[in-house]
Amino acid sequence: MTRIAMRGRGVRRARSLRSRWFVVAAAFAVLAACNTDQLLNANAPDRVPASTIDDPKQAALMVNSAVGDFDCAIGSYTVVEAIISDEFSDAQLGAAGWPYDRRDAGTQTGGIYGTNPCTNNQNPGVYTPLSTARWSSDNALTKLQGWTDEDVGSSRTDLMAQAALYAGFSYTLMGMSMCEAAFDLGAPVDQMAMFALAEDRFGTAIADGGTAGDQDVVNAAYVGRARVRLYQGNTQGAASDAQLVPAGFELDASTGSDDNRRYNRVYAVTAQFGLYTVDPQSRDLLVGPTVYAGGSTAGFVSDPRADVAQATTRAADPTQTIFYPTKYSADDSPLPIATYTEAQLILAEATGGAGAVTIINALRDAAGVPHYTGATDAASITALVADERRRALFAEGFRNYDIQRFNLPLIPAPGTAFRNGGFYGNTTCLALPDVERFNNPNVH
Amino acid sequence: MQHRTSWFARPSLGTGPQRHGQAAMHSVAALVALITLLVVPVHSALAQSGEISGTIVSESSQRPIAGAQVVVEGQTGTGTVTDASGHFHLSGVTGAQVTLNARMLGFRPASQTVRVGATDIRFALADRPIELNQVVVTGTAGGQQQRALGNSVAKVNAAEVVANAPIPSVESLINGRAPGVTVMPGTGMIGAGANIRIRGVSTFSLSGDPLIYVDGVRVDNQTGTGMAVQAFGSGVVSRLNDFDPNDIESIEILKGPAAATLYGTEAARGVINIITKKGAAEGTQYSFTIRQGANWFMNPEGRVPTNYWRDPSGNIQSVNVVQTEDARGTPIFRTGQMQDWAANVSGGAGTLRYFVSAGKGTNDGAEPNNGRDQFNARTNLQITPNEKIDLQTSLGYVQSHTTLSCEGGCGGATWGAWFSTPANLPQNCAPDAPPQCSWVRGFQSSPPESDRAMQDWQDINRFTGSFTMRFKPFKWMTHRLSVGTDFTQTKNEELLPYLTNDTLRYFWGSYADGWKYQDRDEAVFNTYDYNGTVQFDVTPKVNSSTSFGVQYYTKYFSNITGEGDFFPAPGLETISSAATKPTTLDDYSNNNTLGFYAQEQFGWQNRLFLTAALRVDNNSAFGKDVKWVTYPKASLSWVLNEEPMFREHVPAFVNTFKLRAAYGESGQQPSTFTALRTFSPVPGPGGTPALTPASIGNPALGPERGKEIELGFDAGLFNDRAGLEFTLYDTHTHNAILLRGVAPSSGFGAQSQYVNAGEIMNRGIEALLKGQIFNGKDYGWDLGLNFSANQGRVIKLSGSDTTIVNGSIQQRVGYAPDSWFREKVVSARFDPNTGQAVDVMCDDGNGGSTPCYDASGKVIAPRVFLGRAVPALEGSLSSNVRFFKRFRLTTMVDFKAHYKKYNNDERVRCQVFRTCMENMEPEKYDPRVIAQMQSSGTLVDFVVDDAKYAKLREVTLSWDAPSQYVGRFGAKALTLSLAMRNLHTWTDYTGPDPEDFFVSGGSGNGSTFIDQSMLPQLTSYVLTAHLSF
Repeated sequence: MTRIAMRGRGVRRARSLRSRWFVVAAAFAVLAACNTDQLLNANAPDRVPASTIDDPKQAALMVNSAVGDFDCAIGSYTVVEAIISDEFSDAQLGAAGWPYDRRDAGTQTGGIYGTNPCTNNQNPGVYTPLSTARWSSDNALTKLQGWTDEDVGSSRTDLMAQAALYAGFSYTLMGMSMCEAAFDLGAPVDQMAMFALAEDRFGTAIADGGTAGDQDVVNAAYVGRARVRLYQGNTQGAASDAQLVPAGFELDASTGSDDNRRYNRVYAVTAQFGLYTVDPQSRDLLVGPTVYAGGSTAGFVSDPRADVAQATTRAADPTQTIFYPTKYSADDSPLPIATYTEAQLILAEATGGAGAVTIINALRDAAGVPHYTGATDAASITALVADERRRALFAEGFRNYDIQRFNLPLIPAPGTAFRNGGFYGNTTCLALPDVERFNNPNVH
Repeated sequence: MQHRTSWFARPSLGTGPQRHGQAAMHSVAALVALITLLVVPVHSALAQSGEISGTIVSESSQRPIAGAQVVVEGQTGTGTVTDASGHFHLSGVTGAQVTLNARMLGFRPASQTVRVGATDIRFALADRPIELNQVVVTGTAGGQQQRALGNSVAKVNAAEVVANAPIPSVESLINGRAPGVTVMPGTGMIGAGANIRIRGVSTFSLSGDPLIYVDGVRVDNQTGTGMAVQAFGSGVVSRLNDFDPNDIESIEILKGPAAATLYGTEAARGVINIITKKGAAEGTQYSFTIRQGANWFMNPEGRVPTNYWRDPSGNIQSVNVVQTEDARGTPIFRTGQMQDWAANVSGGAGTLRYFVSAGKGTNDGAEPNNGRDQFNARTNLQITPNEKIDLQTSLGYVQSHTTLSCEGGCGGATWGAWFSTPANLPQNCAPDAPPQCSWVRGFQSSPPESDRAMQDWQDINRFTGSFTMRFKPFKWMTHRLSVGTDFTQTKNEELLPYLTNDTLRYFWGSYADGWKYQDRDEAVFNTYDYNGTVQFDVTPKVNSSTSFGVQYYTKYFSNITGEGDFFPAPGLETISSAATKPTTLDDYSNNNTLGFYAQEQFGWQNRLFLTAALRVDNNSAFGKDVKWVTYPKASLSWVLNEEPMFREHVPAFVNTFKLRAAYGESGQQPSTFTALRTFSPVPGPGGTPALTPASIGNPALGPERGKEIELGFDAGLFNDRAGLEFTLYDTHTHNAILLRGVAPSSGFGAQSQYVNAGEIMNRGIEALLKGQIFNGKDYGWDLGLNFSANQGRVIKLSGSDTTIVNGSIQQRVGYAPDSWFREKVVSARFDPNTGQAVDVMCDDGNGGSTPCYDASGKVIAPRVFLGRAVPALEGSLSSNVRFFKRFRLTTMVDFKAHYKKYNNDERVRCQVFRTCMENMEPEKYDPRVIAQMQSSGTLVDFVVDDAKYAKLREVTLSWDAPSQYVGRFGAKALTLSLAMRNLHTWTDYTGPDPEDFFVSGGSGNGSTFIDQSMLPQLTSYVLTAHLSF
């Protein structure tokens, strides 16, 4: 082979190489020239980006959504508080929910009370639903305060009042159920601090509601502020708010049978699904001239305000029978948030003495049950108020915090064997859950 | 040639069943005489024209080999290839006696000296454990020869496996046959599928499912699709098992980023390539397979726990509901029947090759409401109009109906039986007890007939089709274009009819009027795949192969869900007829991937190969800040035994030796829109439209990136009688994605958040040893051993985190991902006065002890490492013994070890319902265990059990009928076999089956942790008759 021939072959190979690489490069150039964005488009038809709702035009939707979050949260809150207290007991065979009934949920911070949603009938959550409701209403309030009437329209002040009202109740329920809670990834605060935050929001609701002429919001805020003032020891302030609430006033959570989220959760977990039942201690509450303490029932009648009925629903635990409060007889039975009755009981508690008896007997008249004619010393009135609240506010989410603040005895006593293993504890409020402790950088 | 074969085999012997019936009446002598009369003249005729004919089969399975080459030694140009039936015919052979050489890729060549004119030559080719010239699918246009590959590819010769033993599912094909590939079935429910994990746990929370391709088309790889019972831990229905093992030629598994780089994003968990059968050669072969069998729960009375109760008189009573129900004549479990048939025709004529198949089967489980009916059909065509163009279609269709029973957290008969109690026996009912007391018969909560009133099923229609065109315009250039779709229409239903039986109505309470739930899903996967390869010689010794390609994948999911509750009257079973309709939902989502790659490979003397590649991908799920992601790859392959120096340094028994090394990267992206902060629509006050916080989002979220180094060798030993593949890998997943809780105070606590949480390392070895212990004319013995060991470790976690908690499972730096961490009780004392364990001390994590509880009863001891949740060691031992010429006995034992499982059966029995003997007589047992059983579920280390096991998975005895018998009714081969599965388990695990797991108990990556009232793997036998014409 001559050198020329070899060179010629080398040149041809080089040309061949170039031409082949050119083919490859050309192919890539064509592909690179394509507009690929369209090829990668994806839709999210079941979700709304945050940027969409963060718009003054969506202010009403934002507030309505916050109310919806609260309406769902109060249902599961009410159920949990009833189970921890002596109102309800467990009737299922799923162990995850037993710590509520066993009153040791406070020692199981990784438990469901911290993580479960408001829609879980078997194991309703508390902390997450209330946190969501609190954030939704506070977020709406903050946004509305930053916008102008021009941005939102004339309804802005009323929307602010509503947002503040539901923020107030969210803080309130959080304080009644949790020993500690955090807000907006802040450091944990105790119950009194939560009530103080609630009082601030109720104050905003009263002011803005008044400006907007929304008397329902104002009345509900009075009830709420009276409650948290009472809990903080401001009886005078509580009384002054409570007496502003007109007779017959009631603000309810919206409920419905159209969707699990809107179920009256108390009815759902009892008569509908057979997961929880009215505790035997609360199945026939008697009311009469004194605080019933056992023994003779002469002069006492079954209190219709705490009436219960046996459901046809079979309990998941075959050893249990389902009883449910007759005030909640369907998925769309309203669930009270703030009522004239509560305002009057706050007023009675703040007033004390014979004045308290007068107020309570007026409530009894409305219920058609005998008057209280017992002693009016401070201890007796405290016992009367606690007992009256147990009946008049039955299964409305008050009993557990009342046990805590009135220091009522826990029955069965801590240390008693729980029927499904372990022993009764002394939980009345729930500790900051792990889900907050592990994921909030400001919790140490 | 084909006509002659047919003429020889058929005319005089007749066909059909009547002929088969007569055959039994003939004496052997008469048969021999007849055959002699028929065959001798033919022999004479063939000898006169220099003809030789015969058959080539696989030694291990006796399956005919199509396309094998047969040449006459020393007579150039005298050769042929076998047809679809493995038959060959040579003509023009000179001489009276010649030597024939037979060879086929993947088999050891064989030679025979034969007489010219012989018509019954039979070659049984033995498998070649190491075949460097075999082409495997790697993502490039023409695949790659094994010799050029720098990484390992696990190959399951499905056709061989199925020929030896009836394999019920694709996952059973893979289980124990591919080192490093972990198949975790979870339940013995018929129709339920397994989770498959490759090379350990490489993510915290994303899916661990490998990608699946069928004939080049990416297909739906989901598990647990749709059925309502699956939400509660019941068995999952895996889309992988929709494919019929009878239709599969081979399965090739690319195990990690080093091998799967060209598959790009989503391929970090590996790729399973399913290659279906094609028509291989001239001629036509018809095959029919009929199977009959049964499935049952072996030894239920010994595996369903006996439970105890101390009656009011202080006597300890026991119940085993399996025994009590058997005695009552209402056994809990049944023997489920299975039967199926499959038929196919394959072959070719001129430019056409074809494989057409159909199959139908019914398989019933051990529970009356569990079973699966399936129909499959497939048509694969190949047309090669000229040497430049090759067109292939692969069209598969499956229709199935699967019913699953409740188990796990769903309840069902298993739940009621596992947690039975003597307190619920009729004789223990108080006189005034409610009726359910005598109705539950010792079961927990309700009797089986109550649970079985409810039906859960899934119907699917699935079409998987592809069209592939190979175009070779020049010798140096190859193009391949594949377009395909995988369309699955799924209907999931749950129905409780209106109950008329008063007892059942009682147990269903307010639901006794019934309900119906229906979910209709569509999943569409489309593949558009172009690849090109340019090859040329750079120098006489150096070859270049440049590959490039573009792939576009689309995924689309849609579903419509409806629910109707309370039927007004019996017989109504539609949502429309229900009184209330609480749920109507529809949704859809899509995700697309676009990617390009370029690869350059230089080969030196066809024995040293250097490869480098780069893949670039974009995906709908990437955030705006994450555009194109690149994945590089490099590999080296060196066929050392072809080096002149090799023989000087290496013992002669090593005849093939290839060294390989590879580095590669690939990814795994989160779901679409996980980076976005979103709200979900919900019904608000009064049913008005409202939104609620959904996902908090994570704008900084990026894809996981797997980086892998793989080193290994393939060795053929003792003249290819044995083969050893050994691989060492080191995989690091960077930016591993974790679904972690969100602090509820942020407002978005309802949903967890995907975060790039850290780095996971998986390091391990894989070994596959196959060998022929003995190979004689009538006897042979092949052994196979595969083994893998994995050492996983969390290398780092983001920020200041060193631990991420997910219940009892933690991700902790320095430990394997998904490890058990719980308080460990190290000492306790039993107080006979109180009957309680007291002074309970726990491991303090530093080698000492500390009180488990504080004064309030809160657990204060630290959680300590108890073990891995996924196996670190696994493998299998398989054997194939051929004896008396026509019998084969194949067995496989597989094993998993070095992992622990959360035995929730034991926890629920002993800690919740307190029906263990330890609860009756605590003074007789270890106080450490008693302390846990008496706790309120806070101490549980006693149920984190060692779950290692070895299982006798498959035993099959086959008999190949003599050809002279089957030829009498026109057939070419008949094989009868008896196969048994899951015959015995060796384990210390205290639950019913170490393979059980509660599907919902795993974290997002599908690792499997918790066992609770799951049905064990069923034992089965299958009788098979396989006939080919």
